[in-house]
Amino acid sequence: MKVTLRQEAGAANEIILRYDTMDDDVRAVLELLSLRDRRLAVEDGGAVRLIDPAEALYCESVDERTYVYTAQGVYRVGQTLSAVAEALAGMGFFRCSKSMAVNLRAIESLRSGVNGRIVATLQNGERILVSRRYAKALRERLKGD
Amino acid sequence: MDGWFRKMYVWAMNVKLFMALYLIVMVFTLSVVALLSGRDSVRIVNLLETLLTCMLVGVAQSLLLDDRADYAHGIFFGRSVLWLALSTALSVGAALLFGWFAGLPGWTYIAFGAFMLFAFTLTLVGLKLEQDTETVRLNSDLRRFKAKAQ
Repeated sequence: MKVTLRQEAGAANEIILRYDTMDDDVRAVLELLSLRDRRLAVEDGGAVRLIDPAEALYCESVDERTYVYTAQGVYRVGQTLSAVAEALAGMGFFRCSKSMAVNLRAIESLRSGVNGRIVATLQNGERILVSRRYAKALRERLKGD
Repeated sequence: MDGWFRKMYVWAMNVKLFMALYLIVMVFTLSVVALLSGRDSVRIVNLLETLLTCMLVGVAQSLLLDDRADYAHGIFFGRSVLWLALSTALSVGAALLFGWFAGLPGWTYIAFGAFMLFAFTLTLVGLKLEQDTETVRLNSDLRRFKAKAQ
């Protein structure tokens, strides 16, 4: 990939990605930039678009692929779940299990379960089980943030 | 192998906590009955029998009322009622089998069964109270968290 930097006095900072086809290199750059800008680059019907992480209800890792679930649908993201959770931790995302990170701001209510587990009900009615291992961290996160 | 052992150990530890609670109740009951009957001791073999009975009750609780047990709508639902019935039957059955109240009137076994049922029910009440209190606290913290984020 050819990288060109052009300084223009008085110009606003702008990044333009010029590409013929959306390949892995282009995707990688887009994902890097989107995370810096706190946006999520998702694959939507063959195209890539940026969404506001606030739209995401939760992210899940399935078969080594990461998917983000929104009210509109399910989209694949190119990063690992760990990378997404870490990048969006400041926006309310919390790793609630080995394969899932939930947007705490999308949680409608919480309920204590047996043996220290927590059941989270999301805005769309879905329920997520937070295991005991992560429940303690969730309690601390809710108290401390 | 290591993961399996760890899981079993933690599971057994949780079972033992409740088992110990029921053991205290059962031994206390046998002791009171013994005192009221004019005796001042309980046989060691009876204590071992109560230990075995409480272990079975604890295992049944773990199997029937595991992480899926939800007390949000009350303590009496399918599996909890089954566990209460099973545990009471185990307790009375053990008392009859091992002759814990030999020589005493038949209603002693009925009274013992009723008392153990009450004790088991109180356990569920305790679990529900614990869950409810924790739930209120969690939602309060969640509301505060979301308010800060806005």
